[in-house]
Amino acid sequence: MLFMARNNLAKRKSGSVARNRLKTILLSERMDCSADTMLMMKNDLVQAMDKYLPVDRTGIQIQFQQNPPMMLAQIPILQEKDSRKDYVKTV
Amino acid sequence: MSEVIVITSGKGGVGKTTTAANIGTGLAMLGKKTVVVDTDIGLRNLDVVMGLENRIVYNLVDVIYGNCRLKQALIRDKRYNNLYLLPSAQTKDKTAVTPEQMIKLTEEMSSYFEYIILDCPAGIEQGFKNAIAGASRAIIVTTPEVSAIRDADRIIGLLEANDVTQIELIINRIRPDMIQKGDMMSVDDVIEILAIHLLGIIPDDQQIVIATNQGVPLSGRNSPAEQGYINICRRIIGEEVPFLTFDIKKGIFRKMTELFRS
Repeated sequence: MLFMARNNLAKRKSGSVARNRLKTILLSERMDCSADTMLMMKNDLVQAMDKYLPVDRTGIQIQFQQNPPMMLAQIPILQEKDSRKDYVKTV
Repeated sequence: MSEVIVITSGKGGVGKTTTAANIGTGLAMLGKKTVVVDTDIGLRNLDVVMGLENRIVYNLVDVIYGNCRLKQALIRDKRYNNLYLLPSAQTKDKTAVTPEQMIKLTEEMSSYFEYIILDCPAGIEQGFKNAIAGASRAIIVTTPEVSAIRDADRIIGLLEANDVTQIELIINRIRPDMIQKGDMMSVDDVIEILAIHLLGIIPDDQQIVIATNQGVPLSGRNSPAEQGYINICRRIIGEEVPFLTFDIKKGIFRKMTELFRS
Protein backbone atom coordinates (compact mmCIF):
# COMPACT_ATOMS: atom_id res chain seq x y z
CA MET A 1 0.00 0.00 0.00
CA LEU A 2 2.83 2.33 0.86
CA PHE A 3 4.40 1.81 -2.56
CA MET A 4 1.10 2.37 -4.31
CA ALA A 5 0.73 5.66 -2.48
CA ARG A 6 4.22 6.61 -3.57
CA ASN A 7 3.36 5.78 -7.17
CA ASN A 8 0.28 7.94 -7.07
CA LEU A 9 2.32 10.76 -5.67
CA ALA A 10 4.89 10.33 -8.45
CA LYS A 11 2.14 10.74 -11.04
CA ARG A 12 1.64 14.30 -9.90
CA LYS A 13 5.34 15.17 -10.11
CA SER A 14 6.12 18.24 -12.16
CA GLY A 15 7.82 16.23 -14.92
CA SER A 16 4.64 14.36 -15.77
CA VAL A 17 2.56 17.51 -15.35
CA ALA A 18 4.80 19.12 -17.99
CA ARG A 19 4.45 16.10 -20.28
CA ASN A 20 0.67 16.07 -20.09
CA ARG A 21 0.37 19.82 -20.60
CA LEU A 22 2.65 19.64 -23.62
CA LYS A 23 0.70 16.78 -25.17
CA THR A 24 -2.50 18.80 -24.97
CA ILE A 25 -0.90 22.01 -26.23
CA LEU A 26 0.85 20.36 -29.17
CA LEU A 27 -2.09 18.34 -30.31
CA SER A 28 -4.39 21.36 -30.33
CA GLU A 29 -1.68 23.34 -32.14
CA ARG A 30 -1.02 20.62 -34.71
CA MET A 31 -4.73 20.36 -35.44
CA ASP A 32 -4.97 24.12 -35.52
CA CYS A 33 -7.70 23.90 -32.94
CA SER A 34 -7.56 26.85 -30.52
CA ALA A 35 -8.62 26.89 -26.89
CA ASP A 36 -11.81 28.71 -27.93
CA THR A 37 -12.67 26.06 -30.48
CA MET A 38 -12.02 23.39 -27.87
CA LEU A 39 -14.42 25.14 -25.50
CA MET A 40 -17.09 25.35 -28.21
CA MET A 41 -16.59 21.68 -29.01
CA LYS A 42 -16.85 20.82 -25.33
CA ASN A 43 -20.10 22.76 -24.98
CA ASP A 44 -21.60 21.12 -28.07
CA LEU A 45 -20.64 17.69 -26.77
CA VAL A 46 -22.23 18.36 -23.41
CA GLN A 47 -25.42 19.69 -24.98
CA ALA A 48 -25.70 16.60 -27.16
CA MET A 49 -25.18 14.32 -24.16
CA ASP A 50 -27.51 16.37 -22.01
CA LYS A 51 -30.44 15.65 -24.30
CA TYR A 52 -30.36 12.02 -23.20
CA LEU A 53 -28.58 11.89 -19.84
CA PRO A 54 -28.15 14.23 -16.86
CA VAL A 55 -24.54 15.46 -17.15
CA ASP A 56 -22.33 16.76 -14.34
CA ARG A 57 -21.00 19.89 -16.05
CA THR A 58 -18.43 20.62 -13.35
CA GLY A 59 -16.52 17.36 -13.76
CA ILE A 60 -15.89 17.35 -17.53
CA GLN A 61 -12.36 16.59 -18.65
CA ILE A 62 -11.17 16.60 -22.23
CA GLN A 63 -7.74 15.24 -23.14
CA PHE A 64 -5.89 14.62 -26.34
CA GLN A 65 -3.66 11.67 -27.00
CA GLN A 66 -0.99 11.43 -29.67
CA ASN A 67 -0.46 7.84 -30.68
CA PRO A 68 -2.94 7.04 -32.13
CA PRO A 69 -4.42 10.56 -32.34
CA MET A 70 -7.50 10.49 -30.12
CA MET A 71 -9.70 12.80 -28.13
CA LEU A 72 -10.70 11.46 -24.74
CA ALA A 73 -13.71 13.10 -23.16
CA GLN A 74 -14.66 12.26 -19.62
CA ILE A 75 -18.23 13.39 -19.02
CA PRO A 76 -19.58 12.31 -15.63
CA ILE A 77 -23.29 11.48 -15.49
CA LEU A 78 -25.37 12.45 -12.50
CA GLN A 79 -26.77 9.28 -10.98
CA GLU A 80 -29.81 10.44 -9.07
CA LYS A 81 -31.84 7.30 -9.39
CA ASP A 82 -31.08 3.71 -10.25
CA SER A 83 -32.93 2.79 -13.43
CA ARG A 84 -32.69 -0.94 -12.62
CA LYS A 85 -35.17 -0.36 -9.82
CA ASP A 86 -37.55 1.31 -12.29
CA TYR A 87 -37.14 -1.66 -14.54
CA VAL A 88 -38.02 -4.06 -11.73
CA LYS A 89 -41.08 -1.98 -10.86
CA THR A 90 -42.42 -1.83 -14.41
CA VAL A 91 -41.92 -5.58 -14.86
CA MET B 1 29.94 15.46 -51.47
CA SER B 2 29.18 17.81 -48.63
CA GLU B 3 26.43 17.91 -46.08
CA VAL B 4 24.68 21.14 -45.11
CA ILE B 5 23.30 20.88 -41.57
CA VAL B 6 21.28 23.64 -39.91
CA ILE B 7 21.23 23.86 -36.10
CA THR B 8 17.90 25.31 -35.06
CA SER B 9 15.45 25.40 -32.13
CA GLY B 10 12.82 28.11 -32.41
CA LYS B 11 13.28 29.22 -28.83
CA GLY B 12 16.35 31.26 -27.92
CA GLY B 13 18.83 30.33 -25.24
CA VAL B 14 18.60 26.56 -25.50
CA GLY B 15 22.16 26.14 -26.78
CA LYS B 16 22.13 26.40 -30.58
CA THR B 17 25.33 28.39 -30.85
CA THR B 18 27.15 26.26 -28.29
CA THR B 19 25.97 23.16 -30.13
CA ALA B 20 27.09 24.54 -33.50
CA ALA B 21 30.54 25.37 -32.08
CA ASN B 22 30.94 21.98 -30.41
CA ILE B 23 29.69 19.97 -33.38
CA GLY B 24 31.91 21.95 -35.74
CA THR B 25 34.92 21.39 -33.51
CA GLY B 26 34.04 17.72 -32.98
CA LEU B 27 33.74 17.04 -36.72
CA ALA B 28 37.10 18.74 -37.27
CA MET B 29 38.62 16.56 -34.52
CA LEU B 30 37.32 13.54 -36.41
CA GLY B 31 39.24 14.75 -39.46
CA LYS B 32 36.38 16.26 -41.45
CA LYS B 33 36.87 19.54 -43.26
CA THR B 34 34.19 21.68 -41.67
CA VAL B 35 32.88 25.23 -41.76
CA VAL B 36 30.59 26.73 -39.15
CA VAL B 37 28.46 29.61 -40.42
CA ASP B 38 26.84 32.21 -38.16
CA THR B 39 23.59 33.11 -39.92
CA ASP B 40 22.35 35.36 -37.11
CA ILE B 41 22.85 38.68 -38.90
CA GLY B 42 22.90 41.59 -36.46
CA LEU B 43 23.48 39.40 -33.39
CA ARG B 44 26.88 37.85 -33.98
CA ASN B 45 27.77 35.21 -31.37
CA LEU B 46 29.41 32.12 -32.80
CA ASP B 47 32.73 33.97 -33.15
CA VAL B 48 33.04 34.53 -29.39
CA VAL B 49 32.04 30.97 -28.53
CA MET B 50 34.74 29.75 -30.94
CA GLY B 51 37.22 32.31 -29.57
CA LEU B 52 37.83 33.85 -33.01
CA GLU B 53 36.31 37.30 -32.48
CA ASN B 54 39.61 39.16 -32.93
CA ARG B 55 40.28 37.76 -36.37
CA ILE B 56 37.19 38.94 -38.21
CA VAL B 57 37.86 41.08 -41.26
CA TYR B 58 34.98 40.27 -43.62
CA ASN B 59 31.66 38.57 -42.92
CA LEU B 60 28.80 36.62 -44.50
CA VAL B 61 27.05 39.74 -45.84
CA ASP B 62 30.33 40.94 -47.44
CA VAL B 63 30.61 37.62 -49.29
CA ILE B 64 26.99 37.74 -50.46
CA TYR B 65 27.28 41.37 -51.59
CA GLY B 66 30.54 40.62 -53.40
CA ASN B 67 32.66 42.94 -51.21
CA CYS B 68 35.16 40.10 -50.84
CA ARG B 69 35.78 36.52 -51.94
CA LEU B 70 34.58 33.62 -49.77
CA LYS B 71 38.15 32.64 -48.86
CA GLN B 72 38.88 36.13 -47.56
CA ALA B 73 35.99 35.98 -45.11
CA LEU B 74 36.66 32.47 -43.78
CA ILE B 75 38.58 32.37 -40.50
CA ARG B 76 40.70 29.34 -39.73
CA ASP B 77 40.34 27.90 -36.21
CA LYS B 78 43.18 28.30 -33.72
CA ARG B 79 43.58 24.58 -33.01
CA TYR B 80 42.19 22.67 -35.98
CA ASN B 81 43.41 23.62 -39.43
CA ASN B 82 40.47 21.84 -41.09
CA LEU B 83 37.91 23.99 -39.21
CA TYR B 84 36.70 27.38 -40.45
CA LEU B 85 34.24 30.03 -39.31
CA LEU B 86 32.20 32.30 -41.54
CA PRO B 87 31.13 35.08 -39.15
CA SER B 88 27.91 37.02 -39.36
CA ALA B 89 27.63 40.78 -39.87
CA GLN B 90 27.03 42.88 -36.80
CA THR B 91 25.92 46.09 -38.53
CA LYS B 92 23.20 44.76 -40.86
CA ASP B 93 19.92 43.00 -40.04
CA LYS B 94 18.18 39.84 -41.22
CA THR B 95 16.60 41.48 -44.26
CA ALA B 96 20.07 42.11 -45.75
CA VAL B 97 20.08 38.55 -47.12
CA THR B 98 17.54 36.44 -49.05
CA PRO B 99 17.07 32.65 -49.00
CA GLU B 100 18.21 32.49 -52.64
CA GLN B 101 21.49 34.18 -51.75
CA MET B 102 22.00 31.73 -48.88
CA ILE B 103 21.44 28.77 -51.21
CA LYS B 104 24.06 30.18 -53.59
CA LEU B 105 26.49 30.67 -50.70
CA THR B 106 26.10 27.12 -49.36
CA GLU B 107 26.52 25.75 -52.87
CA GLU B 108 29.78 27.63 -53.24
CA MET B 109 31.02 26.37 -49.87
CA SER B 110 30.08 22.77 -50.59
CA SER B 111 32.94 22.45 -53.05
CA TYR B 112 35.47 23.17 -50.28
CA PHE B 113 33.97 21.48 -47.22
CA GLU B 114 32.66 18.08 -46.15
CA TYR B 115 30.37 19.54 -43.49
CA ILE B 116 28.69 22.95 -43.47
CA ILE B 117 27.15 23.73 -40.08
CA LEU B 118 24.67 26.62 -40.11
CA ASP B 119 23.93 28.27 -36.76
CA CYS B 120 20.34 29.49 -37.08
CA PRO B 121 18.95 32.52 -35.20
CA ALA B 122 16.07 32.09 -32.76
CA GLY B 123 12.57 32.71 -34.08
CA ILE B 124 10.75 31.71 -37.25
CA GLU B 125 11.12 34.89 -39.28
CA GLN B 126 13.44 35.92 -42.10
CA GLY B 127 16.63 34.79 -40.32
CA PHE B 128 15.24 31.28 -39.87
CA LYS B 129 14.08 31.13 -43.48
CA ASN B 130 17.54 32.21 -44.65
CA ALA B 131 19.29 29.63 -42.48
CA ILE B 132 17.20 26.64 -43.56
CA ALA B 133 17.13 27.57 -47.26
CA GLY B 134 20.39 25.85 -48.15
CA ALA B 135 20.18 22.98 -45.65
CA SER B 136 19.47 19.34 -46.43
CA ARG B 137 19.60 18.18 -42.85
CA ALA B 138 18.44 19.79 -39.60
CA ILE B 139 19.42 19.30 -35.99
CA ILE B 140 16.88 20.61 -33.51
CA VAL B 141 18.18 21.60 -30.10
CA THR B 142 15.76 21.57 -27.21
CA THR B 143 15.84 21.44 -23.43
CA PRO B 144 13.41 19.32 -21.39
CA GLU B 145 11.15 22.33 -20.77
CA VAL B 146 7.61 23.00 -21.91
CA SER B 147 8.42 26.22 -23.78
CA ALA B 148 11.44 24.84 -25.67
CA ILE B 149 9.63 21.66 -26.71
CA ARG B 150 6.59 23.54 -27.89
CA ASP B 151 8.78 25.73 -30.10
CA ALA B 152 10.71 22.69 -31.32
CA ASP B 153 7.44 21.10 -32.44
CA ARG B 154 6.57 24.20 -34.44
CA ILE B 155 10.02 24.21 -36.03
CA ILE B 156 9.67 20.56 -37.05
CA GLY B 157 6.46 21.43 -38.87
CA LEU B 158 8.08 24.38 -40.64
CA LEU B 159 11.11 22.32 -41.67
CA GLU B 160 8.91 19.59 -43.11
CA ALA B 161 6.89 22.20 -44.99
CA ASN B 162 10.16 23.49 -46.47
CA ASP B 163 11.30 20.04 -47.61
CA VAL B 164 14.04 19.52 -45.03
CA THR B 165 13.46 15.81 -44.60
CA GLN B 166 16.26 14.63 -42.34
CA ILE B 167 15.43 16.10 -38.94
CA GLU B 168 17.16 14.96 -35.77
CA LEU B 169 16.94 15.97 -32.13
CA ILE B 170 19.46 16.94 -29.47
CA ILE B 171 18.13 17.22 -25.94
CA ASN B 172 20.33 19.69 -24.09
CA ARG B 173 20.83 20.42 -20.38
CA ILE B 174 19.54 17.11 -19.08
CA ARG B 175 19.58 16.87 -15.28
CA PRO B 176 19.58 13.13 -14.46
CA ASP B 177 19.02 13.84 -10.76
CA MET B 178 15.86 15.84 -11.50
CA ILE B 179 14.59 13.23 -13.97
CA GLN B 180 15.02 10.56 -11.32
CA LYS B 181 13.00 12.62 -8.86
CA GLY B 182 10.29 13.05 -11.49
CA ASP B 183 10.80 16.79 -11.71
CA MET B 184 12.07 16.88 -15.28
CA MET B 185 10.75 15.24 -18.43
CA SER B 186 12.86 12.24 -19.37
CA VAL B 187 14.55 11.69 -22.73
CA ASP B 188 11.84 9.14 -23.58
CA ASP B 189 9.09 11.64 -22.73
CA VAL B 190 10.56 14.24 -25.08
CA ILE B 191 11.03 11.77 -27.93
CA GLU B 192 7.48 10.48 -27.50
CA ILE B 193 6.08 14.02 -27.66
CA LEU B 194 8.13 15.26 -30.62
CA ALA B 195 8.26 11.91 -32.46
CA ILE B 196 11.58 12.48 -34.22
CA HIS B 197 14.89 10.66 -34.32
CA LEU B 198 17.19 11.26 -31.36
CA LEU B 199 20.73 12.30 -32.32
CA GLY B 200 22.07 12.79 -28.83
CA ILE B 201 21.69 13.97 -25.26
CA ILE B 202 23.81 16.57 -23.51
CA PRO B 203 23.79 16.70 -19.71
CA ASP B 204 23.84 20.03 -17.91
CA ASP B 205 27.54 20.61 -17.36
CA GLN B 206 29.61 23.46 -15.91
CA GLN B 207 32.44 22.61 -18.26
CA ILE B 208 30.42 24.03 -21.18
CA VAL B 209 30.25 27.41 -19.41
CA ILE B 210 33.99 27.28 -18.76
CA ALA B 211 34.78 26.34 -22.36
CA THR B 212 32.56 29.17 -23.63
CA ASN B 213 34.20 31.64 -21.23
CA GLN B 214 37.57 30.66 -22.67
CA GLY B 215 36.36 30.55 -26.26
CA VAL B 216 37.70 27.02 -26.65
CA PRO B 217 34.96 24.43 -27.44
CA LEU B 218 35.66 20.82 -26.45
CA SER B 219 38.56 21.84 -24.22
CA GLY B 220 37.49 20.07 -21.04
CA ARG B 221 38.99 16.63 -21.70
CA ASN B 222 35.89 14.49 -21.75
CA SER B 223 33.50 16.19 -19.40
CA PRO B 224 30.03 14.55 -19.71
CA ALA B 225 28.65 17.24 -22.04
CA GLU B 226 31.73 17.18 -24.24
CA GLN B 227 31.56 13.41 -24.43
CA GLY B 228 27.94 13.87 -25.49
CA TYR B 229 28.98 16.23 -28.31
CA ILE B 230 31.72 13.91 -29.53
CA ASN B 231 29.23 11.03 -29.60
CA ILE B 232 26.86 13.22 -31.63
CA CYS B 233 29.62 14.00 -34.13
CA ARG B 234 30.37 10.30 -34.52
CA ARG B 235 26.70 9.64 -35.22
CA ILE B 236 26.63 12.49 -37.75
CA ILE B 237 29.41 10.85 -39.76
CA GLY B 238 27.53 7.55 -39.63
CA GLU B 239 29.05 5.65 -36.70
CA GLU B 240 26.84 3.82 -34.26
CA VAL B 241 27.48 5.05 -30.76
CA PRO B 242 25.41 4.10 -27.69
CA PHE B 243 23.68 6.91 -25.81
CA LEU B 244 25.15 8.28 -22.61
CA THR B 245 23.90 6.79 -19.36
CA PHE B 246 24.13 8.55 -16.05
CA ASP B 247 25.04 7.17 -12.67
CA ILE B 248 23.13 8.95 -10.00
CA LYS B 249 24.18 8.85 -6.41
CA LYS B 250 21.34 7.17 -4.60
CA GLY B 251 20.28 7.92 -1.09
CA ILE B 252 19.80 5.12 1.40
CA PHE B 253 16.00 5.45 1.27
CA ARG B 254 15.86 5.02 -2.51
CA LYS B 255 18.22 2.06 -2.33
CA MET B 256 15.97 0.42 0.26
CA THR B 257 12.76 0.99 -1.71
CA GLU B 258 14.34 -0.39 -4.85
CA LEU B 259 15.46 -3.43 -2.90
CA PHE B 260 11.89 -4.01 -1.74
CA ARG B 261 10.41 -3.45 -5.19
CA SER B 262 12.71 -6.01 -6.82
